[in-house]
Order: sequence, then structure tokens, then C-alpha cells
Amino acid sequence: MLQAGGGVPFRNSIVDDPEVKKGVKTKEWLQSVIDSAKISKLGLPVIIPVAEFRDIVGAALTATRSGADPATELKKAHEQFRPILERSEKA
Amino acid sequence: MSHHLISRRQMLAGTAAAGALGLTGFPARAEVNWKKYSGTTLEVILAKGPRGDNLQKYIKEFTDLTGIKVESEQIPEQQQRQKCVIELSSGKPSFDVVHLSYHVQKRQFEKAGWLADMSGFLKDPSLTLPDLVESDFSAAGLQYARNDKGQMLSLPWSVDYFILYYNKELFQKKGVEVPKTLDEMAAAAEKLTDPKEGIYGFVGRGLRNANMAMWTNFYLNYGGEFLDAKGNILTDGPEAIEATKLYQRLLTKSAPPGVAGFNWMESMASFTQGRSAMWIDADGWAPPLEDPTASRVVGKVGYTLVPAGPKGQFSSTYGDGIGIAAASKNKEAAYLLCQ
Repeated sequence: MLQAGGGVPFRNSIVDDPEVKKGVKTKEWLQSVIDSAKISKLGLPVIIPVAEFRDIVGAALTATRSGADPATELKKAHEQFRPILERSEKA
Repeated sequence: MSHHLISRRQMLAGTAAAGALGLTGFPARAEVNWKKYSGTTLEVILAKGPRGDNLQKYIKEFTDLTGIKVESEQIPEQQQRQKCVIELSSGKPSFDVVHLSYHVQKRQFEKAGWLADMSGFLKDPSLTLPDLVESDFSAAGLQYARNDKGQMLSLPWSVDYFILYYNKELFQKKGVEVPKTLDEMAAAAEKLTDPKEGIYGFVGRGLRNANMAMWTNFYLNYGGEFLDAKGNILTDGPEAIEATKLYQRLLTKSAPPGVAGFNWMESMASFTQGRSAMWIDADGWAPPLEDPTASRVVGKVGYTLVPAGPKGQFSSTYGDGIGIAAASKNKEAAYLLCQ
């Protein structure tokens, strides 16, 4: 997976292994992966309605491309999503 | 003990690593009792893709070593997720081993108690190879795999870090430096944009829903957190507003026409055609970018970190894990496969 450049394991011993590194064609890519691992942070909230979160806030982002105000759109998205999250946690 | 079986570690590294490492079998010191569950049949449900292909490639070797038969199926991601939820919530899933998408399913699986606790298996030398220890997993992997009680409910499998891809030739042509900050990136994107030549400074996911994967990296670098201590969502504060202003600026001033409909595939097409100078996305796209039959930017691509924001520099991280259904009657055998 790693040597093909198409996937990165979570295990540090593989990514850091000099012999494995030798088999990776794009060294600059591998270095970016190694460096990114050191600053990695979960990219989405750990909640159940992830799809709804992405849909609702994603729609707010899309609206800003047409000139809508970011603060207004995010506020609307927040009000729309908050009860969905509350319901999912109570279920 | 087999001297021909490839370990999970080698599988994750890539097939060439087996030969390169001279590790064509498990270490002789291992005390794993591989044959203890011989005769068991395991059912495995996988999301369709290279990771599923990779696991299936080595099933025969696993069966040769353990005597455990494995029936596996790969299903397109969305259907696989739905099937998992339906079957797990029924209490009688048809599968023992499940491939899960952490960033979508972690909370749902944990809250419902659908996954078996692997913590004890990891400490059992009759089940676990000596080189498989929790501390070998990256911090993000452990954050995904552990629940709030510290139990390991899955093994972290494959991770996606967001990185910045850039076209070195276009940067050189315009005399632009590789950006270190998000502000520099936006300025560089505008300098690199030349609509008359069909060149745009930045491309990324503009499509609703998909666009969140890129936006959250901006949000994190502006200092955003998703939830407060009580679990309330926080994405309408000043960090979110600043991240959205950046998103708006990049996608209106420096992105190709039609970017509002772009997911990763369309973004990659623009980048591989040499039409976009920068692209932020997951790290798995080096093969198509460096494929001379599909890309016009072979040998011209730079790979680096997503630039820093005013409050930090992070790489948005997503990932997959492999777990055992809590309802499985073959947990130990399933664990042998997972590791």
C-alpha cells in the first residue's frame, strides 16, 4: 500500500522503516506524509450525524461562492444542525 | 509455523517490502498459536477499494497458516455502511469482521456497542505478534480506535492525511514561492491565476458535502475545534468565519470555472492537466499524478504540508479501521485475521 503511494498505514514502524522507504518511488510525497503524521488532527467531529453535518455546513460554504456572507451562512447552518446533533445523542 | 506467510505489517507496507526486508515469514520468536482456531469460518465485510483488495490478496496465506476459512465480500462504500448498520443493529450480523470508516462511523459504532473490545487480545502473546503494540500506531490512529474508556475497539488500518500538491513548473514560471501560511497560499493562488492561459492558482473540492473535507483543514489551522466539553457543535465562531472567508476567496478568485461541482476527481483532473497550480486533498493521489499515461504533470509535482494558519498547522486526518462485531462467536479467530 505505502510503496504503491496509494495508502498509508497508521503504524509508525512501517512508515519509518528505511527498507520500506527505499521501495517508495516518490520520496517527496513520502516526506510530506511523514511530516503530516506529526501534525495530524481528526478532520471531522466524532458525532453520529456526520453526513448531515457535511451536508448542512457544506451548503453554507457553497452559498458563499455566490457572494453570501460567511458569518450569516454559518449561523444559519449552525441553527439547522444543532437540533439534529442533540436528537442523535439522546437517541 | 509458516515461513511463507506475509504479515499484516508487510501487507500494509506493500508487497515489495516483503522481499526487501527479507521478512517472508513471521518472526521465529512469535508464540502465537495460529492453529488454535483451525476449522473456523469467518465472514468479512469490506468497503470496495484498494484496501479491501489488499486484504483479500492475502486471505489464502492466512488460511494456509491458521486453517481458518475466510469468506469476504467487498461492497461499494455507501452500501457497505448501510448494510453494516442494518445488520449490526439487528444484533445478528452475518459477518465477524468489519471494515469501518472512522470519520463516519466511529461515534455510531461506539455508542451502539457494536464492536468487541480488542484490548485483551492485544496483550495476549498467544494471539498477538510481538511487533504489534498500541504504541506503534500514530496518535490519530489511537484516537480513532480507542473509546472514551481507553478500550481498543478496532485496529487502525489505513490513514489519509491532507497535503498540498503544487505544480513546480507553474510556480517557477511566475516566480512564486511555495506558501508556508494560508495567507501566502491565497496570495500565491491569485498571482498564479491566468484565465487567458486557462491556468488557475488553486483547485479543491467545491461540491457540497465533499467541500467539508478541505474546509475543515482551514478551520483547524484557524484554531477551530468541532465540539465543546458538553458535545455542542462549535462551527459558527470566528475561526469558522475566517476559514470560510479563505474558502470563499480561493474558490471565487483563483479556481477553475465549475469548481462548485468539483469533488476530488474533478479537482485531480484539473491538476493532472496542468490547469491548476495548487490542490489540497488526501495523500493518496501520487500514483495518478505520476502516471505518464494519465497525467501531464509527471515529475513536476511538489508535495508538502497544508500551510499554517494563524493558530496552528494541522493535517486533516481521516482513516479506516478493522474491527470485530461484538455479536461474533469467533472473536479470537477474527482477531487473528485483523492483526
